[in-house]
Amino acid sequence: MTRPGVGPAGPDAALSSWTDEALFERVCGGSEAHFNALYARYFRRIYAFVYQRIRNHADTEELVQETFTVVFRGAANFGGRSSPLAWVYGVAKNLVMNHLRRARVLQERIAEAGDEPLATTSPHWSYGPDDQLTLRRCAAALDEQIAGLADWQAEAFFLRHAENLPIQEISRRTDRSADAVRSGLYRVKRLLVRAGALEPESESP
Amino acid sequence: MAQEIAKEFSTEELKEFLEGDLQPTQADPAFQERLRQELWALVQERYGRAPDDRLD
Repeated sequence: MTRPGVGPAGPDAALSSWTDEALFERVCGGSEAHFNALYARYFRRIYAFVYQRIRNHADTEELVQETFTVVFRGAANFGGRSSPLAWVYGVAKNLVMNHLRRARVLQERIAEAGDEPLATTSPHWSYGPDDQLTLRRCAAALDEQIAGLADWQAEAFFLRHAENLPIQEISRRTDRSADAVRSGLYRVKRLLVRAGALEPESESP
Repeated sequence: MAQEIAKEFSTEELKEFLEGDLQPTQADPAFQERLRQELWALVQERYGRAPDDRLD
């Protein structure tokens, strides 16, 4: 049975005239219908705001998720400091600015590195035998994990994170369902994390 | 209320933010629904669920 404001039909029209303040209050009381109305009201504007500045669907999705998470976690403490609109906007704006700042710093570091090889003879970049062994183990683990991937999964990962394509476009290009693409991307991430998190065998104390 | 908002952000900023409502969404509908479910789970965990979740 479909509950009011729930499901594919989206939020109930009866709530469209409710103020943000009133909706937030009811959300903190645990009302799903009011939560759906608030989410629907803000989703498009937050997504558009973030995407206009980031131009990357994968990062936009992460920032939209982060914005809503901060907003709903803090909803009870909002306490009418300003309008909910200004508050939500402020959260989204801060997260976008932080993201852009981090990206700029990264770009500057890459530019500073220029054409220098990543592994230099500089003392700051030199590794001892233990570090080199760890790196070799990580590289071997990474190769092993990647070898276990289907070609389309590697392609989907590339399309998502190098070309910033939305899931639907990747689904079309790889001829897989959106759920399969999502699941494949998750698998690749897990494999990479597993390979990267590989610890060298511990020495006995 | 408008004055209070203006203290934090310019009217132009907020107007631009609201104009997002008028743009065709570029978001993946599956992402939108998945996020909705995750956030609703978060809300329930944090605030509980209303025993009688009715519209009134």
